[in-house]
Amino acid sequence: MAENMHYDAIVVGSGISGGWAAKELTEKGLKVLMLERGRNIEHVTDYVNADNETWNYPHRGVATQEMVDNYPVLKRDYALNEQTFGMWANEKDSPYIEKKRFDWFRGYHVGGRSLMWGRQSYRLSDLDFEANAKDGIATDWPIRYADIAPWYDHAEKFAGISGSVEGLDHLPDGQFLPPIPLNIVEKDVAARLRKSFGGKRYLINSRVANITEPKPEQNRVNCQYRNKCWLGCPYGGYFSTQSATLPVAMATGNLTLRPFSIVSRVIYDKDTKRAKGVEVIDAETNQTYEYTAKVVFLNASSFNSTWVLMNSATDVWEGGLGSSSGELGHNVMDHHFRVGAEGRVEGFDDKYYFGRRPAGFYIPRFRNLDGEQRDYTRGFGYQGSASRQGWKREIAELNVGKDLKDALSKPGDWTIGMTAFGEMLPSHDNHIALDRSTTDKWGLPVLAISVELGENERKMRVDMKQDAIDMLEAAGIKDVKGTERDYGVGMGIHEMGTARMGRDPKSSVLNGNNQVWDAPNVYVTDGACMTSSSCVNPSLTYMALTARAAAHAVDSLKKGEL
Amino acid sequence: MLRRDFLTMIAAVTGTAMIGGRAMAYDPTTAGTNAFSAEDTAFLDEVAEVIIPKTDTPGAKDAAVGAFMTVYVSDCYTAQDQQGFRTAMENLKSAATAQGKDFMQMSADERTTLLDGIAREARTASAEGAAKAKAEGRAAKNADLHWFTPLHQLVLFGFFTSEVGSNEVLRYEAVPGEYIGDLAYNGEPAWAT
Repeated sequence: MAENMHYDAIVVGSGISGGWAAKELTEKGLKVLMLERGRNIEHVTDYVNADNETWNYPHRGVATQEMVDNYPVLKRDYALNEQTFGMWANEKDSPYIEKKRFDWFRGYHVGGRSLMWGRQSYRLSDLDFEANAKDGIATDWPIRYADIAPWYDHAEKFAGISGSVEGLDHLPDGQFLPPIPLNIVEKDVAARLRKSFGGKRYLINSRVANITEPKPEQNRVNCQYRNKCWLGCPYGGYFSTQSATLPVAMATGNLTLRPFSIVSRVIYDKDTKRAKGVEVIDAETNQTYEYTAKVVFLNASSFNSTWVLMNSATDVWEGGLGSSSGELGHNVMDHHFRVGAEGRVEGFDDKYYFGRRPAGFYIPRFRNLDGEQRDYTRGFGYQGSASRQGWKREIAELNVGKDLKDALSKPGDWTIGMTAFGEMLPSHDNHIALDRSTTDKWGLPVLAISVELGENERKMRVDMKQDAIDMLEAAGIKDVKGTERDYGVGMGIHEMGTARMGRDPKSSVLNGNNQVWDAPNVYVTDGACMTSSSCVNPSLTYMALTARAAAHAVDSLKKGEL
Repeated sequence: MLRRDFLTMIAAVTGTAMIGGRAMAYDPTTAGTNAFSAEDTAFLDEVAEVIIPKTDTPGAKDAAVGAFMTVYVSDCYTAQDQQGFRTAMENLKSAATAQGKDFMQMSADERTTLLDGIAREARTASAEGAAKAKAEGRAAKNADLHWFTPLHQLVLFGFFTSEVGSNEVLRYEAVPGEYIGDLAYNGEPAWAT
């Protein structure tokens, strides 16, 4: 049987947005080829650590020195550990150049980072979609909330988002499953906060892609409160490509998944001004293949989708497909974070909890709303939780022996902590570029990354810390102290903006339907498309935009417009 | 199997494992070459037992903390930190010798008195080191700690993350199935995680 080289659609990448593209396109009857640069990972079967306990790991979950030596970037954060080892891109095979420090944490396998993501899922609002236009920054989003709202509904219903209905204009409610509960301390702090700050600051349940009711139609059981999501969940308790979109796409009989397939470029036809397909390098054999299709979806993660564009149609545009705007690779954004506050809670020593939640609380943005103007623009939200201390705490005056053991065997004080996630402005100076003098294991040019926080972010970080301190103190928390840990741009693992949407091909790479202006049958629906970053976690927006773009693509194909 | 057959299989059959072991996700890790002797392990076991003794619940020796420490230090410590750990072991032995006894020959009470004194001194010295690092703008991980502190911390880590430590001294529920955020507390052991 000869391998089919022609499809209706090609989806490049298999993470959150790629999985959604494959699902939507196959459900609408298209024959789809999904290309993934890394290895396959089968749902449940390949989650070999999912039921593993801490004591079974030779190093109890901690990275070995060899791992540290081999992962100079990943070691900068928690991502390098014994449990998820092998789930992050090999840094020697796939290097990149840090013109300035940039922490790029990549998942090169089927499912991508959907297997390891943080699962926080919030809607953008018109506060976000109108922000660039109002501020005169970068370029205007070509869409408004009304354009995407039905697609948020669609994405939430399928993915399964748990959360509470709050009625906030700037953090729109969605199609929620019951929320992951707050504990008694968090509820108390929430109630106290409502009485302070003019009733304008809210502590609410995190909205997360962990299901609190079963989804039998997807063979998914509700969250079991093990808090082991990043190991793959044998219950399908959280949304991932493997648990949700891939099985649906496979069930249509319309999907072919090809792992170990590195897309080196989009094949561009100068005459029709359309993509003809893609060129693939087999990651195992180094052989080159060409696959053709009527439509191509780039969902390889922000920087890699942009990389593919930069390496495509270079005979027409030196900077690659989409570079005619002058913005391809520019406007890199992340969410800057790791600033907040923590403190000790009194009055609840007779209370404890049961189970390990995959999420805690969320405090929606409250800055620069209702006419307030700080010395920076945009805002930030907080994620945090309250819990009782365990054996890692220090016990005053006890050093060794039975008394120390007894003390550490009991829960300690309640503590509460939170960290802010701040919006980062798009700046043309923050960019990625191809460096053809350096190549990866497959001889392909690598990315050189040059990104730094700007003045707006630095000013915002002052509030991110002080507001956290003020709120905890207002809520009666003791020994409150501000926290600030090392943050390198990229550490938020929310890379965005390098092929932004816009209203004008002269200043944006994509139009309002996520089509590349210069090749309308090429859609980019991962983080690259983001025109601004908002301060909320972005993945839900990628899901919604992908479903919307897929509907547009199928519609346009029917009309013969692609 | 040829790739095209393999692809057909993936397209036709979902939810089955891929053929070949090399495609395994979440790469299993193993312990590397252990840099310690059986005598070292036995010594570390005894030191750990002083810090976390067997009571009506299991102690450090029951949790094989000594053996864990040798694996952890061999694989997770830098060469410099390994040297520091060796020095700490020697310093402990010397402290016993200074009292005219081999540590391994000391009674439980003698060991406890010895280690309690060292730990007390270490707590003060390491706190000063941490404060100094903070004052000089250095990261906490680069603070000058007393030689005993890392060993002390590793004993606690090794014990409370062990199977007996997690299940018989602390409490562990593999599959809670729910979250209850308002539960009366009456002195039960803490959750392991």
